[in-house]
Amino acid sequence: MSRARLGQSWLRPAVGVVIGLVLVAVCGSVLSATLLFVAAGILVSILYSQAVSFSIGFGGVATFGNQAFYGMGGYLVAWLSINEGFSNTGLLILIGIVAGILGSSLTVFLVRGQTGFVFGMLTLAIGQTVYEFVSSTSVAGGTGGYAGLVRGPILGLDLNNASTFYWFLAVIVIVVTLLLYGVRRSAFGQVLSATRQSALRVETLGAPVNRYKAVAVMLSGGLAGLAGALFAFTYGAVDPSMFYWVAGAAPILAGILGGMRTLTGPIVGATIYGGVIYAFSLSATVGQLYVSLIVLAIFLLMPDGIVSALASGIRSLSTRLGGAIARSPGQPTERKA
Amino acid sequence: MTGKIDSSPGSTEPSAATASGIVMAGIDAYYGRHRALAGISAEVPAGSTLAILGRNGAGKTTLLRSLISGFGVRVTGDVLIDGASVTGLSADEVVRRHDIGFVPDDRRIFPLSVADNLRVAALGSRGWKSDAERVLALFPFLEQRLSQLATTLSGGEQQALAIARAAMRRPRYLLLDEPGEGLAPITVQRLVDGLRLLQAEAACTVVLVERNMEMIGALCDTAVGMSAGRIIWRGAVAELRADPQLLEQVLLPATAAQETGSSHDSG
Repeated sequence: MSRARLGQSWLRPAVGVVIGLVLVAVCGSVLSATLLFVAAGILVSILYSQAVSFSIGFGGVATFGNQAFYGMGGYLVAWLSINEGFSNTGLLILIGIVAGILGSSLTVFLVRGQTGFVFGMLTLAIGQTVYEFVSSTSVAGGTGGYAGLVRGPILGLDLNNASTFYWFLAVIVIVVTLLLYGVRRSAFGQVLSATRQSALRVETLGAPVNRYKAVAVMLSGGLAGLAGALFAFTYGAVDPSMFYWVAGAAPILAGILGGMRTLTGPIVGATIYGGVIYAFSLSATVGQLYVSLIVLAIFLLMPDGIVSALASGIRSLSTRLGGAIARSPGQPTERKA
Repeated sequence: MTGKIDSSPGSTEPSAATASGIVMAGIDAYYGRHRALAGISAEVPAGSTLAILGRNGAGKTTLLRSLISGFGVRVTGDVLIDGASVTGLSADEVVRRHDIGFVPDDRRIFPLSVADNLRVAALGSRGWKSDAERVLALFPFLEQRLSQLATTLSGGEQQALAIARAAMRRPRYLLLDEPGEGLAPITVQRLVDGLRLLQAEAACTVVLVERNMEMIGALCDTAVGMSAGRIIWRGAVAELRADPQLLEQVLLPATAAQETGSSHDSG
């Protein structure tokens, strides 16, 4: 038996990166400065949706408190930059990631031993507790949060340039997507995925299921912290709404829209969700209604998400085309002796 | 009591505690508040092969699950593996500490490719490819299916994959729950061939829940008969095969009518 048959192909991710770079380049060259700013916000939403989709969709761990890690990443970066004068952007982003990992680790510790719905509700309760603490005390800037964060340079790049900042975020999204691809295909990812399908089965193989789930939540927390940090850099300000449960629901919604269990689902979902919201944002009175109707229509037509529906459509089309080619009279069907 | 049917509860005792192998000392097992096993005492010396027989609801599957405290079974009493108590440990700890390969009923393979099913079973081991090659040698027909979605395999191939998965981490104990269920005789023979190769290669201790006497005869030396959550007979497999009346008594004991069975338990 060839060992190669047990290995994995890196062709698909390579093609994915090329397509991603082309899309980013096209958007970067045609969008105005205002729309590049909107696109930057969408890229942050993509990261946030990737974070929650990994734990909930891929790992099957019902965590509804990611907004706490998102807010912690954003707040810590804003506070260090504005109040303490930190200007090293790379270090600040790293601190945002670490804040998310620490926050999620603490959450995992507090809800240890719980599973399923109870686990999810406890993580939501922890998230809401953090929100109440941030919004009702003056410890973290009170209801106003922090404003006035200035983007420092990174690797000689001026992030105050809209195009540069857009590319900076796009590259981070591509790197994170590749990282998630690797994690999903790794032994850890395969066991985690199997755990989502049946924790009992995986236990009988000797896998410490709770440890796998904990690592998934921590990885998701780190990514949420990264998204929060980049949110602070994008908008230059943070406020307690980052910690509110609605802030945690939006990336879940975007993930479901695109397909939570797929790698590209959160990217597609967050892009469409963000795009639709922006498109209807000018009509403040009925804009939200249109957004809700469009999202509802997508949910009804594509319950497994846009990416799964597209993949299924392409498979069906290729099967039909294959059949048509096979039936074509001009095609030689069989060599006769 | 070898060779005789005994319906009195908890009357079968292990001959002696051993430092290696499995010893069950007065174990009860529960699903919630429902007691599925009562006062089970038995011994499986290292390197031996034991078959567990009985009709539906007798407690066969529960007994197998009790050895690893898996699938939500709550066990009281003592289960000793390699001389160490495993009571109170989680299923994954028992499996890891004592190198147990567990093949559950209904195959329970993952909806991944055949190769990925084997990879999951390796739990991140770097040498998983060589382990995969080793277990695929037991069931060569799986080699052609490596990239196929495992849930689209035939029943026999799925069962072979479930066994191969359990064999990935070189088990010293192999616990099998009705691997021959619903399979054609030729398929059962292919599984038996693979299992005998595995036994010869790893000299592992085998506990087999099964009703197919051909498979039992090919793989096991000794057997216990169960009814209503209790062991009612123990003896040599050859003795059972030679005496159809005794076999009928073990598989359909007089107490069958009194059995309550268990809705959680296929065996």
